[in-house]
Amino acid sequence: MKTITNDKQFKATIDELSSLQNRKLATLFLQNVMGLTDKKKYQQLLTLASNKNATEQEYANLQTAIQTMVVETNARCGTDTDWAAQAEHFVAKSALSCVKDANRSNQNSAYDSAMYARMACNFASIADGKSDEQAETQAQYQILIQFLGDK
Amino acid sequence: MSNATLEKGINSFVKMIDAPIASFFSSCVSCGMCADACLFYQETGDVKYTPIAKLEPLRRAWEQEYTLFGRLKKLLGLSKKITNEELKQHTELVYNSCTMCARCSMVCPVGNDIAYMIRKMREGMAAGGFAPAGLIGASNRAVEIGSPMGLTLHALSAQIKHAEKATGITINLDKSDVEYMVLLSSMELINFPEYLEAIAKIFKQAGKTWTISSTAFEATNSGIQIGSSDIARILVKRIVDSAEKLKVKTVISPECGHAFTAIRYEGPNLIGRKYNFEVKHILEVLDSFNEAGLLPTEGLEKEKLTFHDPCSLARKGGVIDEPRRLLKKVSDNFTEMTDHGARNWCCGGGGGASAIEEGEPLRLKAFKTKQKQIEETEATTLVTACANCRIVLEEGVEHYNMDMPIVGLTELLAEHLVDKPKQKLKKEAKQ
Repeated sequence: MKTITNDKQFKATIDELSSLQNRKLATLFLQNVMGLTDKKKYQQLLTLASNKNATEQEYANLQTAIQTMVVETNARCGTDTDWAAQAEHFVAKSALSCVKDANRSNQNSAYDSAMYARMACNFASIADGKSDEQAETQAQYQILIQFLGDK
Repeated sequence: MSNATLEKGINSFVKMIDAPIASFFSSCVSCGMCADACLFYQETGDVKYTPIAKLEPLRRAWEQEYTLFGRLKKLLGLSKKITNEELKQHTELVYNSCTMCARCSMVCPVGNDIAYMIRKMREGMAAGGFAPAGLIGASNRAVEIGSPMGLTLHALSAQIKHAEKATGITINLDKSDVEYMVLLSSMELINFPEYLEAIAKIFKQAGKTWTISSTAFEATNSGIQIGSSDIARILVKRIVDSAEKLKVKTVISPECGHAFTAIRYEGPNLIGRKYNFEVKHILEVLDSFNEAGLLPTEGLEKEKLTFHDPCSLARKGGVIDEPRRLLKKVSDNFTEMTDHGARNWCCGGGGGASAIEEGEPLRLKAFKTKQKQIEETEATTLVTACANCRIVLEEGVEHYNMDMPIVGLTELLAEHLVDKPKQKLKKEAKQ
């Protein structure tokens, strides 16, 4: 079984995956930070991700809705920051990585999803002092190892 | 508002009228060219958005106090008084519907700097209590917490830690005798933390020393936005004190438009002396690295790019060629919008306008010109160099159903950075 202990290995391994595998993996990283947001918002995405026959058009339709969530949760200049809401913003960005056009993106949607998920944890830790980005990083290494094993 | 605050506002208007303001009002020929240059007038066609008309209370204060005819009229009771109601109405006109983008100043045939006049009028409005609540809150947080968005040192440290983990590069806080002190905007740290990672990678590659000040990391100057020189001075002084204490050679303003003009051009006037250091925008610094061969990049962007010039950076700050030279490093498929560089159209959210929630519908309406110009380029990615522009552009793009990612130029360059040892780079630069 492959071991992944640092981000260099993590990224290099993801770089070798196909765009469709990237999307699957991206969704797994997203699922791991669902506790930072209202899971119901992403139910459609999770359902689509579990459908092997999902089309690019279905993903494109969902992309528009998730892009709206990203924009709506942007912190505006001069507003008093709500750190928990900002964690949700980065969960939305992680979700956006999962629905990007598999043919257009540069095959790194899983890596992007992982990084945004970590940012979400970082913002949650500012908000509550409990979340742990380091623990999330380790969890992502395990998710990737598991994913490679299941491939 | 009470009569006392109204009086305070009017007195403040009178105090604000300096020689340039008096000469500008005397020179105005009411040609209306400023109207055509304003994004809010352009998209609404409503004459109240004519830039010079937004200054009507200030004009009357000038006329009644500083002109013979106006004083006579005032003595005879023939002047139109400035009222609470009028100033309340002007809150929308000088804050929500003016980004101080200075396009009106640029086209004025008699050389009136209308953006400067708006800035002065905001001083009176703020003194009289007529500033929007959003900007008042931001200014209070900037003074009390050190960030208009409530970003504390604890939050900054968390972001630094995150960037260090992501890049494997140590980021120094309060390190003295380094070359650069990097300022950040809360907008970047909160919405685009990747910027800090990009800076860390680029400076490591270039072999330059830098630090962030724990007491003056914020570049945003809410005092300039709301129109309070007192607050603006406090915020500039905070940066100056830190830079001088840390003995840095250069302070770098981040990807934020107004922050650059505030610290570089308004700052010395606000504190009444020259700095002991230079102030540069991050794109100027990156351009200088590039010229010295310290910014090696590889690969080109697959998408067709266009660039949105932040008004304060291009029109007011003169940083126009630098982003284009940098873009050429990573793209051979770049196209300009019809109006670009000094003639660009504002995103609609500058000068504090994006902090005013109730101004959003108008802002989105005013985005139409920008939308049209972006679409005409047929570009698939929009690049810019201001975190606030980026958010406002994202809102506009989303509102008008445009499928287009918006990226920061510094981050884009960092993505193409070649991972080479410093010595090898220096050798190559000499050849």
